[in-house]
Amino acid sequence: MLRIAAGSAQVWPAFTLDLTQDLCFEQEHRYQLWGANGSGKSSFLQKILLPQLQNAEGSYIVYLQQQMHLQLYALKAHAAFHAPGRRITDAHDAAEYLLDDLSKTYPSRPKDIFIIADESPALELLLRFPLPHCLILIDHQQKIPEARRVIFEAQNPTLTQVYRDA
Amino acid sequence: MESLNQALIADANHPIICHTLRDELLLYNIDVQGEMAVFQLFETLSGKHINRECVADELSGGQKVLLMLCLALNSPAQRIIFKDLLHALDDERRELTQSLIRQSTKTILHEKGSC
Repeated sequence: MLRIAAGSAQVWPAFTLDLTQDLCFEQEHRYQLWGANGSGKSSFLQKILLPQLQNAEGSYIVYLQQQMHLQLYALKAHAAFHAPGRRITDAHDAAEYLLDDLSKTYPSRPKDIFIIADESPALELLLRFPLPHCLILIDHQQKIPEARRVIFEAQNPTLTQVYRDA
Repeated sequence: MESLNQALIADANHPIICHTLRDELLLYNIDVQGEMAVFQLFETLSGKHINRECVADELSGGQKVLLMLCLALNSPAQRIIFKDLLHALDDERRELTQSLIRQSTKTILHEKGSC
């Protein structure tokens, strides 16, 4: 489990996220970050959640960025060395490659898995992933089934309050 | 005379490619009058005030898509192909976007792109 303590975090020079309560992200649960464009959801992932996960170690992290063209190049390069002939042409291919790699590694070294996806076009693939994991999503297209919501409510252009949906 | 096959392609998977708005405006061939229209429309859609010196990294992913929309609609292009335009927009901005497109006199097509 990842626990993020309540408090204010200035994630950009003129933008603050105010977590009004502790946020817990548990294995075998889904979470959907929900709020208007520009309310700080991606900033929360990049500036608060991912650094804490990386510092904690002991987990597998799969992170699919919102505009992932740079990630795509990195994964193509990785596949060129480790999986020659594997085609990675879009975000769906990239997600499949990462999840396949994780599925091969996990049995010999089981650890907590955190899958974090920001407006991923591979959503259906992520929802079907069979290994035990914590799924944290940003998606404006639909309400994710069985997902607990974390609400990002902009108070003004420089401050957003973050809290669990009741 | 503009070819009927020419179109401005605006891909929401790569909404802004320049570091500053000043450079992005050049790509769209938008004049000074058009710049003000872009800024005003963007502020209406996003609630955020911008100017030509703004840096793209200051905007969220959804805001970049909205900016791309504003630039495209205020460009000289009469035919626009949007790719995945609505994917990253919240409900309110999706409706505003669809309304803007309905009101536009440009020929606007939508395609599903790939990242």
